[in-house]
Amino acid sequence: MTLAILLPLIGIFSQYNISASFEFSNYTSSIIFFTVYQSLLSALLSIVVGSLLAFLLNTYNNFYFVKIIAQTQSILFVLPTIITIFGILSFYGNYFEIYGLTGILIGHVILNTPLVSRIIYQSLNDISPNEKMLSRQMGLKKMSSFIASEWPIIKKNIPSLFVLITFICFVSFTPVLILGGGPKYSTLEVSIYYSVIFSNNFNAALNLLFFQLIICFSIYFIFFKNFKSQNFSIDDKRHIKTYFNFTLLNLFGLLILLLITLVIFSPILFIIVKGINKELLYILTSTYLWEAIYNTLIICFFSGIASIFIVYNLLVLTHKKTKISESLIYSLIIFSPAVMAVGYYILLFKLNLMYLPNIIIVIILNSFFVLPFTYNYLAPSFFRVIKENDDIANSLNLYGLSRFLTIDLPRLKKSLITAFCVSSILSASDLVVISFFGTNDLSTLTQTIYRLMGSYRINEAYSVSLILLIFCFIYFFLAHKILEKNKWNIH
Amino acid sequence: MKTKILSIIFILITISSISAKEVLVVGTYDSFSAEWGPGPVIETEFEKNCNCDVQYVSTSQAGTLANEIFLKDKDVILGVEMHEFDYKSENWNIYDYGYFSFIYNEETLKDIPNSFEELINHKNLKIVVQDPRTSPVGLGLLRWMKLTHPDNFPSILKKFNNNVLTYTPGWSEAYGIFLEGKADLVLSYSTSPFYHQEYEDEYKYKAIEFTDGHLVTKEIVYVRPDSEKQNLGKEFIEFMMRDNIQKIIAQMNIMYPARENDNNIPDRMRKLKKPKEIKYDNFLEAEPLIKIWLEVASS
Repeated sequence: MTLAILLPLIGIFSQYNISASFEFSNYTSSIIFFTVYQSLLSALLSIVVGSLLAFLLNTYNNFYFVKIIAQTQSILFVLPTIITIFGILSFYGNYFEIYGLTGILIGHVILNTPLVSRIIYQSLNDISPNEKMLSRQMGLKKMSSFIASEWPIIKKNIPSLFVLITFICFVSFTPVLILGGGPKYSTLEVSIYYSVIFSNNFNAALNLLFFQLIICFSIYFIFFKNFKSQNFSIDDKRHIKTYFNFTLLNLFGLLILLLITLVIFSPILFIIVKGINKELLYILTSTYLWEAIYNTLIICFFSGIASIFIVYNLLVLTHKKTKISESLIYSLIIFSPAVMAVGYYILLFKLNLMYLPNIIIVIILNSFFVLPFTYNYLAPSFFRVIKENDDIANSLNLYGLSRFLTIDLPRLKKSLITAFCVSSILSASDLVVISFFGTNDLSTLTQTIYRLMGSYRINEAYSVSLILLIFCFIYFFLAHKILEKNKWNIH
Repeated sequence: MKTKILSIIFILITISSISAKEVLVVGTYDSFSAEWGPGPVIETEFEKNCNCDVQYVSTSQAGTLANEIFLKDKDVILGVEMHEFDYKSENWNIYDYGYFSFIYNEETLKDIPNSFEELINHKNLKIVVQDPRTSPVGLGLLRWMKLTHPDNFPSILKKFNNNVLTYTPGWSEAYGIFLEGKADLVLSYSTSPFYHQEYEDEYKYKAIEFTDGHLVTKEIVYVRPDSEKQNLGKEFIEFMMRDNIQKIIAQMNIMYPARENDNNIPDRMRKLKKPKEIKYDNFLEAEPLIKIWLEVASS
């Protein structure tokens, strides 16, 4: 794990010239300021909207359609950023002065709300029926009941999610470039990318990266002071039946729920409208589509497996020292994707590993890049289950794999499946790794979308985006069906 | 387990190295090598006679074709823009060219500017262009503007910047935003209307002609000086200059063929009006232009 982060940096540092001077232009300092500002603000807004959505989803989850929304919101990660942005421009471009800070914030909230909401929703499911019953018996009003049972759980999730979203927005590239409207609203990541790829200036890139790290670690330590991962927990099994009364407040809640859902699902609506066009049938008969679907499936599946494997082992190794595992995981986000990819590229060259089949390189690197997300989905339930099972495992003298299979796995299964699906889907949406290491015969659906757009074929690109969405729905559905049916009866 | 993985990797490596044909690794950008681009046809045609195997390694990251790090294991590089080429190779050629130009939809835009001055006087005109830090097309605009306005470049650029909706990472995003109807003008090539005419039977997209002239952009194919396959690479480059291949390139890459003649230019492309070319002596360096742009556009 540490190696995953360190190796590419060694690659980059091999190009570093220590004696180079360290100076910042006015532009760079204004960008640093703006990057911090927009990422904190984006994270704050995403968390407010995401928590509200999670709360509403949890409150009304005896409705079937609410359950569907709760389950499918992870699919939103998979749409290529550019398609999401086109959706945003189409939906909101006519009503707002979209380019500038507003656009960046709208974009980041739409992109990150599902992530926040999914994780908090899982935690909220954990409120025990007794507790809800108790608060009802005590005649607590909605607000007091919320403060007593839901709010503590939401609160516990906030620090880690805040750091995660801040970091994601900190290194945001395409959304900031397009929605920012000009270099005034930019991120350090854009400058880093330019230094690495275009001006081939590793010193400049590393200096900027160095600043990025200092700022991000400061944010990390400011917000993590009171944070202990053991505090938050997930248990999918408990369900509570809430009875829906047609009160004004309930209707209002549902309305807000639908509104937020509409906003975050708007890119999907956009793709459904745009994707069904006359090119769709033609595309379905083309060989490149099926090759891309095949490659995407292989890459999704194996990177999903690999990242689960890495995160699980990391958790087992470091679960007593969560600060270490967390800082490792989060640093994967803030070590600029451009620098990481170039670092790996240089490294694979130095080690003469470029002759490895590219699909293996793509799978391994993708599994690294999705680790922060896998971690966020798996860690909460892992900490809870491990803590609860420690006594019984010790008394039965079960360790390692046998303990995992007999005691931990049955209880972790749901979280493992969710984490696996999300990691897979995120690998499917990757563009960085595949564009550095893909070959002509190895292209994924996401890359195909960009290729089509790069050749004037925007309608085909929309159709392939729709196919990518359907692919992910089927993948999610099958993974849950197949894996959940399997009883794992190993004794 | 580890040994198993290692042995699988080993077997895969051996299988891939068994084929006896000489392999020519061509680094290019992916709209060239895509199934619908000119790459596959050229590969098939070339392999008919060379007893070799052409392999495209494509990138979708703009700019990586000019970055030494990504070129190491390639024999031929196809698609580097003339400004970004270092001219150190002995074997190189220009295979196609085009003119930077603004594209508009004639159904929605009636008052067409014919110079940068007219353009910036249209206060309501919304333009989408590419970020010069991440796109050669965006950089092309700065060079173009600097050549037409050598003395007052920053002030023209500043006014132009007021009409810019956004600077996108690459050509695709900008053109997509334009096709979505979110901008009046997009920076592209004067041959862009050819695509819509040829493949969509759509004639409403037009290229603006500026009276000051347009900057020409040329795409270069070259053999890497440290490649061991100089002869094969040279053959490949010569092959690309043949009439039938030049026609395929024009047809599918939507650019003018470098060795243009009546046989290799597609009909609808011939009917497009060629803008006036700006003549100049030395290439303009990118860094100083970007620096001015950053100052002007971020204030």
